[in-house]
Amino acid sequence: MESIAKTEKQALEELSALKDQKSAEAFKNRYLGRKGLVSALFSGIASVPPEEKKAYGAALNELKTKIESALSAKLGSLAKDKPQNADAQLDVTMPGKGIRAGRTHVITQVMDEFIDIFLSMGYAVAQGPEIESDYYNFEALNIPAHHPSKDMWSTFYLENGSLLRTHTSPVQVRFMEKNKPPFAAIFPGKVFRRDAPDVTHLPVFHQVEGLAVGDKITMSDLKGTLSAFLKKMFGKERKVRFRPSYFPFTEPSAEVDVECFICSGRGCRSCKNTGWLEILGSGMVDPNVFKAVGYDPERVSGFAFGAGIERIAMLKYGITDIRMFFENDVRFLRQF
Amino acid sequence: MKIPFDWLKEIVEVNEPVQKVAEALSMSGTEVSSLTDSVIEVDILPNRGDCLSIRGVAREVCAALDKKMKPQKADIKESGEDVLKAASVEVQAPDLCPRYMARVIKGISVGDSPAWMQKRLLDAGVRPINNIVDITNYVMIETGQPLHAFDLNMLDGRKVVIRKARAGEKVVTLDGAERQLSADDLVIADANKAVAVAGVMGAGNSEIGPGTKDILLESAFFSPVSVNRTSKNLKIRTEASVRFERGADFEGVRSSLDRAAALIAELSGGSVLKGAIDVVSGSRKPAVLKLRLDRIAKVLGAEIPKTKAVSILANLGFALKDSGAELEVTVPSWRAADIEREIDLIEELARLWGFGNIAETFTYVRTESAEDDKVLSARNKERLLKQRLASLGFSEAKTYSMAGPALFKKAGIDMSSAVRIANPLIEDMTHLRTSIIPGLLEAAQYNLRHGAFDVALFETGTVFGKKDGATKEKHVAGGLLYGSVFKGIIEKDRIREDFYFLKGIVDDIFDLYGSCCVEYLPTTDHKISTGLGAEIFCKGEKIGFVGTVRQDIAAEFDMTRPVYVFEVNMDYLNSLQPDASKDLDLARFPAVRRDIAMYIPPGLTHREIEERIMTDGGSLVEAVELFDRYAGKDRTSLAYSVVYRSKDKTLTDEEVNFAHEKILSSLESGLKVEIRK
Repeated sequence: MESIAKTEKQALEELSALKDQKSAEAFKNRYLGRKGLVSALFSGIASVPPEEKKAYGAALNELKTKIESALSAKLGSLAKDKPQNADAQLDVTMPGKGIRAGRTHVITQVMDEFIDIFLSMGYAVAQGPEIESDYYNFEALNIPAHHPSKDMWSTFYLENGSLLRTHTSPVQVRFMEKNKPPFAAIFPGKVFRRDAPDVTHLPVFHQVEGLAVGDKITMSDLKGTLSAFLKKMFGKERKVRFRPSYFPFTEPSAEVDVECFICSGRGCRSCKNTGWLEILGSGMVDPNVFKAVGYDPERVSGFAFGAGIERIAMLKYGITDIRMFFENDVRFLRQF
Repeated sequence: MKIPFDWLKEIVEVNEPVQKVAEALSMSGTEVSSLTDSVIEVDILPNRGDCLSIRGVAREVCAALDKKMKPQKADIKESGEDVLKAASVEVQAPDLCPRYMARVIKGISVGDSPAWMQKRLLDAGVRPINNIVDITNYVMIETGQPLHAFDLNMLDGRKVVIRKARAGEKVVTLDGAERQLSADDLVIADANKAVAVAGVMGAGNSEIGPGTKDILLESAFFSPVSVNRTSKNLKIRTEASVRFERGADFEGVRSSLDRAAALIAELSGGSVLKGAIDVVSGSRKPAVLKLRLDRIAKVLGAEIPKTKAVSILANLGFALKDSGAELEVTVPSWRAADIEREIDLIEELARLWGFGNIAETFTYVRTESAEDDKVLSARNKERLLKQRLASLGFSEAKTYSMAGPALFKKAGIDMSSAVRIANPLIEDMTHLRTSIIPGLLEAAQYNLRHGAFDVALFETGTVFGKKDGATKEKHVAGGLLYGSVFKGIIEKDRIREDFYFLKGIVDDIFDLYGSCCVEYLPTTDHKISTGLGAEIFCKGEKIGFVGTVRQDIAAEFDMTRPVYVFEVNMDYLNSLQPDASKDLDLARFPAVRRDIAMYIPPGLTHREIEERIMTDGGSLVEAVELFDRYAGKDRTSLAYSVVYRSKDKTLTDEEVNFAHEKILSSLESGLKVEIRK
């Protein structure tokens, strides 16, 4: 009887130490096989005194059942732990497979962010042609021929006398011609300047302009709207300031600066040590622009603004060479 | 423009440190671009020609810091004969030269100007030349009025004629270049020859030299438009032309002339002849504007106290008459060019009162614009499209809208329909692009040269063309695939980037836009890819292309493996009205799949087989799916799954078998395929 107890103890210990199916198989053979330990004990029944034979047999049967059920439980738990994949040699450090997703362009992302903020303020979106006439690009915007203010935009002219728009403002004019105030809209798009590409210039870049016209729009609305926009775009703790400037199509005109978000206003290279970053040009729509589209400047007023998207993206990501946006190096594109 | 601080302080009574003055200037509209302890450099905007002078900036300081200008002294001592005996002036083009003044100074000696003047000129960024030229520059910088000195003895007939240039007339300007003039250009001439391009640059033939004894000193008001045009035509920009084209100070013509004449007499030993020649055409009355005080708040949304408004305008040199609700404002001569309307005055008030004093408000503007919905939905779709292409492994590129002959040639694209830029800047950008693909090929090449092995790019944007002289714009989406978009170990023969892979992506685009009528036809004469692609049509209109780039073209861009491209017209996609109706009656009975494998005769297309199965199978066929293609040495095998399903009941074996047999025999007899058993 002692040998039965001993075998039971030993079997259960070994069983709990089993790590896989294979060793479980070996265990089964060693204990429950035809020449296994349990069989050997059964064969030993012959040498047991007759009066103990019954009890001995019962104990052996019990041992057998115990080992069988413990083994089956162990096998069950081993099966659960077994990897689903037939490949037991799983190397979890190997690369995952599938499509290596690309990215939308950082300019697209910044532009969409810009647009979304104005959409949330109820602005409409309008687009227009990239090839424009002198009238829509300049004249209707109070920029007469032979006035030095026209030199603020270096312009590409085309073979037929038309030009590549230097800003999205012509879309504003077209929008005003087609709609009646009140309205508020933004005008995103590609614009062109006759500048050779260098660290800070591109002949093609992106702008978003905006325009709000109604019967009681004032400069304080301009300030409130653009301030709200800039705080959404750059953080609500950022200070915003408005500086007088000049654009032919607005009067008064204002440059809008945001507290430098690179140095938090302490002064750095990006803000030329001023603590401020110039982000938007803006102003109250000049009466001559309203006259050009047939509005009565005594009855309607409005504000307009515009920003270069590349500039914002450069500041936001610390990009110092504007040409990177058009190089299309995937090592650059993939980071956004 | 560089403003030496000590020079400024000579004109305006200011004790504040230079930083304070610079801050006040930049917050009131004069942008300070750099600052040292002794020099404030300002960027003068095109409307403020009056500020291209120490005096003009001083007036701004005066208004911004509420200071007073110091009185200007011009004690000119005249002597000798009357100026009219020494020289004469004839203005033949009064519209282009409404005022011309001249004085004659005799017996001067040309030499260096005094050290203090040279230092100030250098501080202001002007190179000293000789005392006479230096004085004209000095006075120009101080007052903003350009002046010019002629050697009187080199003027034939001692005469100055202001006239339009003669056709073909030439003049050698002070920079040594021979200039060809046109009849639009205004010149200063003597009895015989042009001696200056009016308001732009003098000529060598009357230049002040070491031997000059007597001079004629010019101070004039030239038409801004005329000077701007001539300066553009001749491509010369000078300190004088920049000031004249912004509008000089009509009244300042005399004071500047006298100031310069006095300095010349003092510093070069000459004597100023009696009197000044002054040829004025027409009369110039200062503009008197009405400023409605209630209008200020209507524009600004802020009240500026009347007393404050009055002091701002007075400090700027405006003369005011108070008539209750309005001010009558007389514009000083130096602001005649930019102050013409009430709004101009309101701007002056706003900038000097300070934008910071205007509160921030927000007015919601309800916009009802018909086109808005369309634009917005197109934008949203395009955003989705971009995200989808990015998910499929493509990164968004931005390439230039212009290209040069070299790129067109490299990409094998004919330039005849490309719009030409009349004033191109560089050779790579002489025309507008007619396709996005060459730019993408160039971008791919850039990446390969920088170590990339696989490149997948797309771009959406405008391409251009022309027809019968009119330019055209088209919005397109284009993509390029070179190598793989996959990561990790991919069973290479199960998914392969090839024509079909890219076509699948193009199909996705059409699916996104809800187009069902798209047809792919084999290309015959596509510029980039002969025979290895498909042109995409919808209702007979060509709307895109997908295919393999010709090997020789790919090689031009350093690509040795196949490169696949597509371009789709987005204007077409945006014009689609997607079918909003949904099929909600989903089949609830089980589907039965039967496969068909067949060898096909040469030339038979998938589409013909698919159509045949759909037609013959009738309403029982729910879908036909191609799942295998094997191209052997002499024949091609295709394998399809046909999905049978009814919406009304569970199909029996007999029903399916009947339909399937019908399809098999129709394929064999109608399309001559060999069914593989």
